Amino acid sequence: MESLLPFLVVGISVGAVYALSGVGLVVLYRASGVVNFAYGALGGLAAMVCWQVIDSEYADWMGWVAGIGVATLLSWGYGRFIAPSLTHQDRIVRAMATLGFALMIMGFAQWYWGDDPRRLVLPTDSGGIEVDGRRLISYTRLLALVLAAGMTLGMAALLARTTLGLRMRALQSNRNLSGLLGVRIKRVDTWAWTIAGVFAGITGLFMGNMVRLNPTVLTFLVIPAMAAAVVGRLASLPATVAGGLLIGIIEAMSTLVPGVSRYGSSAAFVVAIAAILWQQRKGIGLSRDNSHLE
Amino acid sequence: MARDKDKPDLPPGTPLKRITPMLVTFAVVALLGPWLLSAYWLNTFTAVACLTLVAGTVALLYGQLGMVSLAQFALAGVGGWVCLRLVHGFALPFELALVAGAVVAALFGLVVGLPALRMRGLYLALLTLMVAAAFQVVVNVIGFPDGGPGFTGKVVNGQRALIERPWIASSDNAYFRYAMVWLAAGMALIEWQRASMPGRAWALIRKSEAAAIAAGVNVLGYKAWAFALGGLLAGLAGGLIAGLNGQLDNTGFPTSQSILLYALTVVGGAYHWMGAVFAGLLMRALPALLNDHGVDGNLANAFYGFALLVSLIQGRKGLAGQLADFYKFVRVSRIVEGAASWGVIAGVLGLGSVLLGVTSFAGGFFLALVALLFRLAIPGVCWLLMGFFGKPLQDRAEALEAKLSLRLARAFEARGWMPDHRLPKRLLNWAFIGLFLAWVANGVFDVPWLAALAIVWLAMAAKVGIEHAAYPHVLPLRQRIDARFPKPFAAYR
Repeated sequence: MESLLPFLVVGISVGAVYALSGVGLVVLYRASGVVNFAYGALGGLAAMVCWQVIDSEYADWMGWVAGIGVATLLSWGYGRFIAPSLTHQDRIVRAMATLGFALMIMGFAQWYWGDDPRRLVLPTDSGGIEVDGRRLISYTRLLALVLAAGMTLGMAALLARTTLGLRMRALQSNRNLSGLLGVRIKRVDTWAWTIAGVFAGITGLFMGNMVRLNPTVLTFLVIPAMAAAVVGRLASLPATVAGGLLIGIIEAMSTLVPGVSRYGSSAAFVVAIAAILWQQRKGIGLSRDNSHLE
Repeated sequence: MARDKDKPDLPPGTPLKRITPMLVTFAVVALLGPWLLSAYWLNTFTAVACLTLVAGTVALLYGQLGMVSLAQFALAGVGGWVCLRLVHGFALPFELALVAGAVVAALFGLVVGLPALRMRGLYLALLTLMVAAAFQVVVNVIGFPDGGPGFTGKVVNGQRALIERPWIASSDNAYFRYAMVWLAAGMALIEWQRASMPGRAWALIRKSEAAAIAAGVNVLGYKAWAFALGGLLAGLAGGLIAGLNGQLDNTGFPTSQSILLYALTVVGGAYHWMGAVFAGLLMRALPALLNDHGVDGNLANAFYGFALLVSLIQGRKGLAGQLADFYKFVRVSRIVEGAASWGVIAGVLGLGSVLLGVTSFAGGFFLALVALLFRLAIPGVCWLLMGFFGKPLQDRAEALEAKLSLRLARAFEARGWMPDHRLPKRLLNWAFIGLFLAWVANGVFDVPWLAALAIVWLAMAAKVGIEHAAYPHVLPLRQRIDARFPKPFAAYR
């Protein structure tokens, strides 16, 4: 058990970031019906911008603000100017359009920053909670954990308690009817995109610190996040968090098992595929997903 | 579904009518390709042919069934893996291994598709994305077989063995033609299926599964067949890629490429076979071209993302759809005139470039032809791009352009010249096409920059000159032909 603990801690903290990404995806999906494939790309851009600002000898906090700000701004811009021209399309087309957005951001970032090895250092990296003289968890990972919990609870409260949350849930339930009842669809959508941008920026910074600071790698970290969201059926926040943590823990634990360790990074996909199959367990028949009718 | 009216439910025409132009195009390319291209570009175009086949399967699933499969490129990897394994392990002839790889990939496609039988839209896209990502991880670990021992057939430390190409196609030229034959067969199979019974069933399933069931369509069977067919042809393409290089790279089938292939299929057009060709070209030939010029291929990715956004916003028919729409309304007389004048202009410029020692006859001929072709195809692009900034702006710009053009055309007509109601658009495009094609020609055919620019602009100027000079003489002839063939593509819809 002693030797398992560090892996468990690493798994939980990475899983917390996956969960945070998943929550960002789910909130946007619930409000606007868009699965955002550009989520990882936005995060990647945030991390690269942050690195660039810090590398140009500005204060660290300026880097964080700039990174998260850029992600939020782009996400807002997409939600405000581009997404509205797609609202009459199927959900699948709206999702695939964000794929185009992701390719644009990724292509730009990859062209501008390239593949040079870099590191995004956060001041919380240097310290940590120590047990028996050994570092158990760095403050960065602890911060990720706390932020994930806090932001998830915050989002849950927003959805459950505030007027904006109420409107988001109304849109989730039926967009046309909500519009008839006076919900400003575009405005609520734009809020959802802005919130998703903040989430993307924050997770991007953590991922850039914990995984690897590379635009392409960070862009495709959207896939494990999506796996977490799939576990929550793109609707449930608690299940998404559980999915994210599960994926993170399996990934970290699999490094201990000889023969399986090299397949560890496919944990997210296996969990997601299993979740999808489980959700479809009632047998093969007519599809009940009527999203194409909207 | 809001914009269903934009999409053709079934490809128009009988299966044979649909397939013939495609086969003729592929035959011409297969015959002329080795003659026109250098060795490097020939291999690039062989890869393009393979990717076209994979894109064809993406287009089949998306265009005909409305299903997004992001795993098709991974299925090509499966086909390639099995093909390599069989050739190394059992010394099977290449064709046999190719077909076996395709069959295994079809089974994989079926397994991927099985959960999709009751899913559509978003969840299927997510599931296939997960499959593609998982395949990338697995293949990164086990690698592609290269003559080593054991099940994975991986050499640990030592020389990687290559597989032999088939004996009828051991040279680069022959292998290009060999791949083109497989491509033609695969695309013909897809088109045939689309235009016959399964195609009708798929179209109905896309409209409404309930309606399809009510009409007695075997929904499960036809969906499964679509996935199996997609897997089969993708696996075939994977085997062909393996044969091209003699081996496959572990990093050759990443998720990003699967996603890019989907994006480019939509950009190219998922409702026409030409869309798959565009996708193949954009995916492999354009980055190679950019690389030739020392331009970062990542910028191409950014551009493709933009193009995907534009084509999704603009109604999803893609480049091929735009071209097809355009040709639907061209009159027969114009086609006859065009064929004659294009042939003469390109021939003269080709001869001229040989005499001046600028480039080969083929180079000059081809460049002039492409310039004349692009002269027709490009005008839509400006408008397409403008549409990205909103429909009102696009409408206003088009109205303004139409007003200007109408005035210009009236003035021309009053003087007895040929009224060209598209002159402003064309002039704008000429500058763009000239610079772009000259840049391309400089990279692909090593034609000097200025000479290429001269050929392109001369070709376009000659076309206009001929049109103007011959207009009074051609007009009666044109009217006769159009009276004889009143609406050439009336049977199209």
